[in-house]
Amino acid sequence: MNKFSLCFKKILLFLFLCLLIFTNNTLAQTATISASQKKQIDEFKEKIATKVAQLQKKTNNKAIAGFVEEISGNKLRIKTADNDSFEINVDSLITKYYQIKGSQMLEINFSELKKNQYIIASGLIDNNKVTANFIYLDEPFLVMSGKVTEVNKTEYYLKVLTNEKEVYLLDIETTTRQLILNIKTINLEKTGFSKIKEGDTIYFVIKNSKEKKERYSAEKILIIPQEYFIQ
Amino acid sequence: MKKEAIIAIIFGAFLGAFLSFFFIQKSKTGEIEKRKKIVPTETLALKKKIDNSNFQSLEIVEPENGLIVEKKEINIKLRAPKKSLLVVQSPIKEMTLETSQNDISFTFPLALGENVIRIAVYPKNKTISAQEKEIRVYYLEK
Repeated sequence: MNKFSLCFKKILLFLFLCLLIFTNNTLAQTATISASQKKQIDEFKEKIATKVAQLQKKTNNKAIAGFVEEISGNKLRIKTADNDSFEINVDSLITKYYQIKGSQMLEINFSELKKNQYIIASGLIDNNKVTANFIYLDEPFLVMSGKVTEVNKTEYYLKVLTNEKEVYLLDIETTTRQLILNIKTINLEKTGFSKIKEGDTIYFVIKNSKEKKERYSAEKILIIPQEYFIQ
Repeated sequence: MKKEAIIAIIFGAFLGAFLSFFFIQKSKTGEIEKRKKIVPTETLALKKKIDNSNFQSLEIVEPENGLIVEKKEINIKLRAPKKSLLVVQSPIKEMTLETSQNDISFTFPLALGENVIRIAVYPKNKTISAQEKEIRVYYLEK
């Protein structure tokens, strides 16, 4: 019995020593990894991020755009042109922000995003939630069509009733690109304000704003003369 | 009144009722036989079917609404009625053409950021109404 007890004690001591040695070894190993292989881990992380981005692109290569309604913490709420509300979740490490100016993109910060601005969010879209990888600050445009109901030759504006039954007053500026359909050749030609008549069909481009304005400065107009529909 | 007279009146009434019932039934049968068929004939129905199959509504086959692209232009594929005026308008480009077939495909330039593209068709056949659709495509460099 005494012999057995001595043997048991020896085994316990051996096990304890083994545990002590292995624990020390593991701790030492961790310390070595954190010091020497940090670069490799970073590269590995980068590879995973790229792969995730590629997979997201394959499965969800779409974007959502709208006016910012609310900014709180790491969340944004936007309203799209179709009046749908989307919650945009941003991540301080992953999400990148850009401002689109003409044909250039400038990197900006989250703090530069303000209420009523127009943003495009891309990332993982799930129902009405977007986990954004990229957010772009953009200038919104509205492309509409309708019928010219009034041509004001003193103030140089057009009253248009759109197909959605909305009324727009369009200021025709010297910078407005004005085109008309040649009903014989079906080509577009440059035109002037004097050639626009009430009853003509019009396509127009204006800069959009969150609140509807009384008058808009027309960026572009395309006129389809009523004669095209009579012939 | 005599008994015979009452019996004669009753018999007369029965005979009158029987005759009127007989003539009403006969005239009804004749009317059904003479009635014209108002169901369209098979050929007419088939012709009508063929006419409907010629109608083509405006469909944007490509691209999908909200798509992100990394190129300055995109290929637009449509299905639209033949012999129609097609109008395409975006903030950077506008174009018109006359469709000669139902399937139409063309390249359209894009601006950096959001591109609102409005597409409309005005069929020459005035019985078909004009149709309009809008898509948003995002040209985003990464």
